Amino acid sequence: MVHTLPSVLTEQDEDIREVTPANAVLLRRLGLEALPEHETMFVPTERLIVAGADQLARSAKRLVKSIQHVGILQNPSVVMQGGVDIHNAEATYEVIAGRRRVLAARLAGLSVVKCEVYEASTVQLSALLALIENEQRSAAWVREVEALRCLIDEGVGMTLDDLAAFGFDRATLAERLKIAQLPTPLLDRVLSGNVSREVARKLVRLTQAQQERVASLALTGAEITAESVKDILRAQINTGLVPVQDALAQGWNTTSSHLPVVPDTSPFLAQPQREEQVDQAGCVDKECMQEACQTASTPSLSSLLAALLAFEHCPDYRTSHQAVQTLTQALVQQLRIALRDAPPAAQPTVQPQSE
Amino acid sequence: MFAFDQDFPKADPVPRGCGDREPGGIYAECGLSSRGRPLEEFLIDPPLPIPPGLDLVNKPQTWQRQLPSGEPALDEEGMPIFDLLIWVGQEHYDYCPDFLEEVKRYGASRRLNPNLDLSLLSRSSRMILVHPLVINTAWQEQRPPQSCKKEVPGHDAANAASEDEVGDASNETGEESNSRPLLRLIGTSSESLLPVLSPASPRTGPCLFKLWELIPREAAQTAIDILDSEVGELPPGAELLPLCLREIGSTIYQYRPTGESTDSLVPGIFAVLPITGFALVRYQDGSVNERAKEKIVAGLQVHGGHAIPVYETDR
Repeated sequence: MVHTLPSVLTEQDEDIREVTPANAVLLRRLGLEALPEHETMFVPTERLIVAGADQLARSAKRLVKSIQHVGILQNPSVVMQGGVDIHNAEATYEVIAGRRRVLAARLAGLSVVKCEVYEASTVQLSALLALIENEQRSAAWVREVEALRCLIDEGVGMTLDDLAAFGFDRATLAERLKIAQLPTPLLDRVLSGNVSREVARKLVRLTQAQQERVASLALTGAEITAESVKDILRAQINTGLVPVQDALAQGWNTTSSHLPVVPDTSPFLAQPQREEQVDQAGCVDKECMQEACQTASTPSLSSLLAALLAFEHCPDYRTSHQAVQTLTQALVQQLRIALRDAPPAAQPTVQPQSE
Repeated sequence: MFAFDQDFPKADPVPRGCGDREPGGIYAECGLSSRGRPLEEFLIDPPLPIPPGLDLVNKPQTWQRQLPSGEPALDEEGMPIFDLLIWVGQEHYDYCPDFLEEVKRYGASRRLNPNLDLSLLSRSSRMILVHPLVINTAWQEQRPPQSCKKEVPGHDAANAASEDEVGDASNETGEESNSRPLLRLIGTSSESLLPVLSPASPRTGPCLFKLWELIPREAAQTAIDILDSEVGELPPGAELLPLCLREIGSTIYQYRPTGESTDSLVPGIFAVLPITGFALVRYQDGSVNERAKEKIVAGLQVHGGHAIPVYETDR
């Protein structure tokens, strides 16, 4: 089913030789009666000059895979820049439309590219081709949606993975696919250009039930505006957030004048003092370490923390296995949390060894 | 220029799972406070699904809070309450516990888009947090977590068991519930490391705390296998699980992987945190993001004493 892909995957590559009514208006405004004569030719890629290649390099890479799979589907437009005529072996050409395609063709290893070659350029021609290309690019999403809808209607068993294998952005394709699956009245509006891309993107975020509701409105001839869709979407999300809102309303007093309640940090405040004590005690010798560990033998979290902090300052720690060091650090962090979370009355205190 | 008492809870500016805070950044913080309550109270268990249509991935946004009746929720000043909806990305926090363990230690710090209308936020505002791997859709097929720290009935084996059984278990350890996991960690007990669920126990779920057990062993920087001889005789059906240590940013935490699949995890809302302040991280020249600052100052004028405090910091 690869043969159906071209129409799906062509993002900006419309054959510019076709003069649509809109393009005809452009032509007239530019003082042109028709597109100049041109010839379809295979041109060696090294003779194609691409202005702004550096800026386009990144986006061109995305096209490489599809070009490797199916080639260039719409011929770039080029104009002769150097040489005596377009058939001259020395002639070079500047790419006017399709710069990314040419760059991607080079990256894909193609030695020649089929181009629409104009012998001479004018300011008007360059402007026209650029304008047409931009116009086609902005409308390309509708054509992609249409093509995807065709694939769906014909029961073509392709997955997003299949399509993404051609090098096209998965997220973009996924979005187009969702648009293509909108209820018919909404899809018709999209395909007829009566719904902007922004609105279409919001429509696909509606649940199926909400889409059907909007589709019913569309059938009555109602205008589907960005604002109306936004309102419906907002209401839908609010409904989904009700459990969170309930939790907020019930769980915490939102009108409290106190600081928000957050985890207790007292062990953090106490921590530097403890470490200082450890340092002052010169806890680098084993005696001190043993003392700390003896303290830890009592069922006390704080004494265990003190022992671990002492251990972190001992030479043995630095020479110990990495896993031991990591475990020590993890325990220190966890003990601080445990001490912090313990109710004040239940906080253990360091007990003397002998009473 | 700010009239706030600067003594309010702040997040620790340590390197985090998402890296260091960036100059010019504006961050919503939930700092740690001696007047606070344990993090567990702010967790949503079971986690909630993301409302359909909410496009949140890497797009922090303000959202007006509504009462269950549909009316706008108002704060004590009579102003509408806006919350922050925040996506905690998997690119920085592979697993939701990565983020929660960090918050436990250093508080929360989430970068905001300066284009957000921060003047809408007040002390009543909350950070509603979402992670892509939170709701365990296969919870009924998987084993219950060792413990549910919110003690939701039916979530873990202890809570699903009868009251008598729970009472006996408490008497055996004689410890506060907060210290129990730690004592298990240091291996002084021969109790079962994995609860054995009675088929008759009524289970509820999915439990947020199961997420710790679902982190694969391979995600640990250090894994320590506990030998049979180190824990003594295990009860029938009990399984000896490795002790895994995972490092993320400045956080090192332990978990015990059961080896169960994470394929069933889907996005969900897992926490609602207070916003204790905004941090404006200075550029090298000492200035801050003026656009964000202007909005915060505008919030000061709107909310007065109910405005979220702000401070400038170098990191």
